[in-house]
Amino acid sequence: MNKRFLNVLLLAIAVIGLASCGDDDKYQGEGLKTVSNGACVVGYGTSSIPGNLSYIDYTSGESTTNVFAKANGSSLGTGANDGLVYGSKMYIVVDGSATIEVVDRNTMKSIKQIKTTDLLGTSLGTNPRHIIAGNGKIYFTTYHGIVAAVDTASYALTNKYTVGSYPEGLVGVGNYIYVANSDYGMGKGSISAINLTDGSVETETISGVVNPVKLFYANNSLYVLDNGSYDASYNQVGAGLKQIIGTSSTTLFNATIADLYQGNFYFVNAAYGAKDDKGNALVTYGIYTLTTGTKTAFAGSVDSPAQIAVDPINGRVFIASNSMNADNSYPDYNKNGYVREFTSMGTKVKDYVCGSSPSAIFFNYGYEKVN
Amino acid sequence: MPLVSYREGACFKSCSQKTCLCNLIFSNSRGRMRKILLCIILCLTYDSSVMAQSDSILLDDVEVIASAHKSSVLSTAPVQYLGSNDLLKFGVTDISDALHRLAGINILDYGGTGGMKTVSVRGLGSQHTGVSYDGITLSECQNGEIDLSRYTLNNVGGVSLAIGDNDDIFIPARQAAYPAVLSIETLKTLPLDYRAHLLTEIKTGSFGLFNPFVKYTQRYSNSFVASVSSEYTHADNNFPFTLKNISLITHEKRTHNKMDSYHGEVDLRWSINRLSNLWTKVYYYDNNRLLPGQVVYYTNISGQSLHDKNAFLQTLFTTRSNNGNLSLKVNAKVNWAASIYKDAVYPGGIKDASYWQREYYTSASLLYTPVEHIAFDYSLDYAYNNLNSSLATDTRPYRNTILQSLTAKYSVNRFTAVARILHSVYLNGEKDGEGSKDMRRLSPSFSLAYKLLENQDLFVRASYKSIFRAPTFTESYYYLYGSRDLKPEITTQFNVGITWKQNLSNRMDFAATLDAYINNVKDKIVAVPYNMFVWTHINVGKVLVHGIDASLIASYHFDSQQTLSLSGNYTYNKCENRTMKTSEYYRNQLAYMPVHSGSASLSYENPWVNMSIHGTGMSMRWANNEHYEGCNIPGYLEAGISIYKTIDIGGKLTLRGDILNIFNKQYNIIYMYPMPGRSFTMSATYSF
Repeated sequence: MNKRFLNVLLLAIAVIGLASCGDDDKYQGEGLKTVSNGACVVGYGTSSIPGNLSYIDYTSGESTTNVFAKANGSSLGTGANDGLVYGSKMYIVVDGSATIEVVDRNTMKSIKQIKTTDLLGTSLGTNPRHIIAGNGKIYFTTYHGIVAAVDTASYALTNKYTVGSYPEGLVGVGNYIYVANSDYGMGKGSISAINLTDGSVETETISGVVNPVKLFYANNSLYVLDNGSYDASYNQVGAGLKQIIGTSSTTLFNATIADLYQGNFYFVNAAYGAKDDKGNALVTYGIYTLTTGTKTAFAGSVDSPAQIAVDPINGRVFIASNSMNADNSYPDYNKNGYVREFTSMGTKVKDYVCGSSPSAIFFNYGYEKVN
Repeated sequence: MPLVSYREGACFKSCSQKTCLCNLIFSNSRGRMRKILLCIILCLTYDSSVMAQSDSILLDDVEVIASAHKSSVLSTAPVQYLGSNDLLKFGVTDISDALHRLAGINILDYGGTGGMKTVSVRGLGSQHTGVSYDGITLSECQNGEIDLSRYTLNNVGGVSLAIGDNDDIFIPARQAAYPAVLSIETLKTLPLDYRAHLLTEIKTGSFGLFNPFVKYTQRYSNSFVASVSSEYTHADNNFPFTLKNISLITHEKRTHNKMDSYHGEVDLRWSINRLSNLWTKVYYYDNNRLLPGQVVYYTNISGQSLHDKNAFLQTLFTTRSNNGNLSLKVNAKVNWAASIYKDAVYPGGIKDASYWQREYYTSASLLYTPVEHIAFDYSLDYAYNNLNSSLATDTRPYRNTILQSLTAKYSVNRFTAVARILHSVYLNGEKDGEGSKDMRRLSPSFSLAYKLLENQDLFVRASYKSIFRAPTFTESYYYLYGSRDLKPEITTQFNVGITWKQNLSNRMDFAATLDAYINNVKDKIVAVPYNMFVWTHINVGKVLVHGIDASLIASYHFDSQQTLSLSGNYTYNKCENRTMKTSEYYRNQLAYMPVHSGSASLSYENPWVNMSIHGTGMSMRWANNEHYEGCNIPGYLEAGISIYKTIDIGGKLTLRGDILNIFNKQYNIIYMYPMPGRSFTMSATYSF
């Protein structure tokens, strides 16, 4: 066990300034209230469908697909993978096109297209994957073991950190950014800790974590979503939400997708190859409460769960799904998907149409003046 | 995190057709035995796979081609042929252009000289279209798709397409196992003298094309002819294209698209005696290309490369009995192919994949003609294929294939009928696993042709064929769950047609064919996802294909030196998903299948400069079976012009110039794989 890495974790205290949901520092203060106006659904697309963005408007209760294309007359790019709202702007990470599209969060008009290969060069800049924001910067991972920091006013590269193999999700904790290095599922995944004060990076393998893709921080502890590995018959094994303690881990529950809301993990476990008694694909839904360490059933379900997200402002629960192909009852990526909204206990509220192959859900926050 | 992402005749101058031809020619001649013997000799001499006989080498090319055109009229099932003279006359520029000139064929072309080109016939899919090279079917056990971009036309003597079973019955059983076979024949040069003969060609053109070719042929004795050919192709393929991104139009250039390929062949032809021949071919092909990949919005970075290598040795032995009523054909082939794919963009070579496959194949066909009007063929084929790869999931699959066909043909003056039964056995195994399901099946087929009027070349024809496709190794074992219990994909073909050949005057002649067809596919093998990255294959689809193929070739002779020729084909191909009546996709046209396609060319041969103009086109296609909004690929029409002149300077020198896509039409055949716009090629061919 590496003591320094452990110390790094212990030093991390609170989520200030950096968060995956992107609080905008300059608007924080008296007389302002955070409100969420809607949910944005990023769609990866397929080899014949471009990446896309759908928007669920809370006020109208309706969703619109391809909002970026409609507002700009051009496509988002090939393979849109992640996004967030930070301040007045929305940032969408487009993996295949190697761009980060900066968009006005109200009009969806493009403000700037950041070419990640211009910032990082061809050899490090392709395949941007995930993004967080804070301190007036966005931080994104690329498949080349890089976390890049970009100023949100000048769009200039301010820092570049070398992390582990095939980094995916990241989380900001105090003056640190933790990064899930997936190793592209090859089994040697690791976690990196970037010290933003001195720019140093520590990368450690965590026992019991092989394919980390997403990180959460709560109650002074770091949690990782591990996509696990595949056995000889291609069953997905070891996928779950794990608490990181130093360089070891404890599995809290089995899951393939999860989101954290006020100390509760909302999750879906849809491991490839898992079958119930009748031979049907086995998918479970649940809520895990950190304080009690207990699992509660989640009543809702979708056809082919792709993403889960809870609006941190109002607790609305969304699960994105691929639609099924009527010819063969398998997921159909060449078809619009949908997002199903649930109450916190899993009662279905409404279905919204989204674009093809949903890859991320994020929320459109702003600040409203209160007197 | 994804683990692995999903990615991606020989017999046209058929013996039996000649038998039919013989019957026409010799119907009033004397003795029965004499007639049969003559027919068989003619068969064997016309048969492309027989060589170096003193009688065969006397035939000049023109005669052979003329007879091939005849055969497309006489055949019991659709057969189309383009000889090397047609290729020149009608301004055919490359193999893909040649295939566009054949009715019923659909080419998937990834663009440019280095872009992969595969064919499917009448909506049956490229895995279910056989491709034979000098009489022996090419095998591709990995994914079942033959990339035709490797065949440049400078060594091609003819290209033909046979759909269903025709009256050519003296064929290996494996050829009968396909619903359609595309045959590529190399140039057959069989000099009568003993001096060295050289055929050289240099071709150059836009986008860095450089293609020198040389073929050396010499007769060493009365019975032995050897030839060696060698060819190199370089192309940068950095052609410009227009990219439409909703309403944003940008002008882009294809990059990372360079190719360097080498291809060499050695042919040894030995006339063992008056009755027996042996032809052995050694083939090597090596193509190292960068792949630009699908066009991606806002970036053109690609790190993909593909290095293909293929070597084979094939030998063909033919013999016949003294009295001529028994003929034997024995084929053997050893094939090795490697495909080395790399993607430098992904660290750690995570997407790299190399595949190596081998085939050991042998076939024997026995043709027996006991009495006039009746012939039988029994063919027995055995093949062993195996595949290994660099994938972590590799299990080294292999397959033993035993095919037997028994064919009977009855032919009287105005009527020809053929019946065949094919017995197939596929025994599958894996070195590190259990292997996919074995398959055994009987497949019948029938075809017939009837001459409607005694003294007019007006025929009607009908054919039926039931056939199936065994899953490829990719379908059975890869990406990522193996699908080892896949059933075969079953196809039933029906064809009715009318063919007419007529000399309208001594100045004008034409030949026309019109066929209507129905193909019914069930248990279609379809790739389905567990998620974006883990796919498997299932038997679920039903497809109903119906359509019409039409072809026309007409010539008008102004005088003995000036001829105007028109050649055209049109295909109507409705290729519908009929899997589930309640599905929103019911009756959707399958992805990449145009409903309308066709080509036309007009050539003017004269003593000064020969020229042709030609065009090909197709209607819109969908990039996916779901017809997702915006995934339609617009139809196109493109045209080219070709001029050439042959002069005698001691040898024969042909100079040719082409303008391709003369109106600079921007189009795609595959979604986001642009085709080149206007371009130029020039070639000089010299032979002596």
